[in-house]
Amino acid sequence: MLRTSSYTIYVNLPDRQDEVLLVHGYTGAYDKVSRQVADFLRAREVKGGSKPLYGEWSPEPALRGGAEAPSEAAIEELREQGYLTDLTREQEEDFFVQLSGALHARAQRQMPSYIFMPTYDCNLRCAYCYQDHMRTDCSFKHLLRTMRPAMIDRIFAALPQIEERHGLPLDAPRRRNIGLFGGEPLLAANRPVVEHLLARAFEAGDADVWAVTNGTELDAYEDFLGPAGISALQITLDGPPEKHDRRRVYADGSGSYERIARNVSMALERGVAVSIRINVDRDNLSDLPAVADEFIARGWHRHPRFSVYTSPVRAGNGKTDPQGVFSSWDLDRELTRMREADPRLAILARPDEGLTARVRRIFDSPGDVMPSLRPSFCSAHDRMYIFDPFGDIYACWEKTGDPDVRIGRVLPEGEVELRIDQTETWRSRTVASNPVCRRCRYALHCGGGCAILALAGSGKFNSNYCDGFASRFKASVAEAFLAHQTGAPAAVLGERVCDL
Amino acid sequence: MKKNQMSRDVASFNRAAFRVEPEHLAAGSLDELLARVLGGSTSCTSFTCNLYAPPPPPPPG
Repeated sequence: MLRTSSYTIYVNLPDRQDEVLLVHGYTGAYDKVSRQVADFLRAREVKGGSKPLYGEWSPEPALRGGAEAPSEAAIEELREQGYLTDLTREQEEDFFVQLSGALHARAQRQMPSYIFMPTYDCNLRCAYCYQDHMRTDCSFKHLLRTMRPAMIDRIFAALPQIEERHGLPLDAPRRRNIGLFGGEPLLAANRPVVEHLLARAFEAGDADVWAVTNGTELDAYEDFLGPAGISALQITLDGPPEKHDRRRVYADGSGSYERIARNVSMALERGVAVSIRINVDRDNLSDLPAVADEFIARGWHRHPRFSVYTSPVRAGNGKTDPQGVFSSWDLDRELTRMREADPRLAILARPDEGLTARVRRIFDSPGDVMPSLRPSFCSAHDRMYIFDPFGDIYACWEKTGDPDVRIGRVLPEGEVELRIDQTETWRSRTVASNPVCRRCRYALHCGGGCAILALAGSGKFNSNYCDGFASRFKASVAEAFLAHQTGAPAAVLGERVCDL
Repeated sequence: MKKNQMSRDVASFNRAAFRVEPEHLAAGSLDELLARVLGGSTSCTSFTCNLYAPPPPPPPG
């Protein structure tokens, strides 16, 4: 019997009562329909779908008046696009699980991404840092050593084996994606080991090397910076100078802004893509106009490879007040409101600006494109390998430094030993691996949310972490459509390192 | 904007990549559908084709 697909998403358009956007949760369809058609579909939904247990849930558009059937041609079009289906709810859920598995398997057959942690040590003491304990609790002191060149050689010897596991032939040319993370990877004292790593990376073939760095000692790496070396950086600046210098501090409490700012200018002049991350909470939200002024005054916005994005501080390390932080949705709304009043803030990307931009491309260049679907939230669940100074391998950079959760290690001979239990735990988390996500119409657009935040929130690794995604997705689709209609210039965004 | 206006009530911006019918749920048919949509071998569309199980050999021919 023909029914409305359980994975039909309805997007209201502001100030337009007679039209609704439809997005399908797995076929890739995007359509605009009359309110009559939307009501018809709503009326044919089989009730009983799950609401997320955690996070926000936006009510679907209210059913208005009767649900008059549209034309036969419209009904056939709705079937073609997947909004109407002959599958039962159970059959459709089974298909969704299989599709998610196939998408996940395809993701795992891609080139792995690698992150090297030269050290867990850092020269700053930011209070909200999830690694803060490593530098302030003496029992973690043993972690604060630097990776040795011999370990780098061992790891590079192991990479072909990892790539073969992902279906890449040993003799195939490859371009590796290599990130540097920490602690602080670009401490001046780490220069010898970073130099050795770069030599090995480019000797093995083409590579894209990037770093997440606090930027304080970047000047020690000036000659390595550029399109042929370390070509992209993510650097955090948490406000205008005086506010940043109260949050991103050295161990003696002194500030870091000016030094970082000089290094940002230097990196941009050398052609490096610099993405500034601003960790925003209720304390520094009102400072954002001053932040924008600073960046504009320094001329950074004129560099084509300069970008800024905002991210909500997460209250996860026990030192951050949960009342003082935003959800992604709340931060996006606050920034939207502030930007309407102050256009300078357009240079600061909102948390969901990337999502809006991706949807905008569909409206601007419509066709038969399979939009990017997310069977899992991030590459911790398919192909990311993080190597710490000890040769331990982790799946997620939020969970490093604890051998109990490592997914494997690099052996002295350059072999890779994977722990089946931890590897399976990390690599099997998909939108099909919990009963809430697999029934959610947004799941393949969302990815199921961050595993670490899900674990912190519910105590279960394989649970959903919605973070208001339903509201966020619908707002982004509506915004993208309206921007397409008005011909507003599309946002130019840099790449974000992590979706958190 | 390209419109597929089979009716005034529905305007398409992006076509569905596939349409799944009950008959696709029969053994083997779903793998073929997914392989056609996503590319790759029909023998490697499930989660078993992953890190800790080596991928199956390519089909002959």
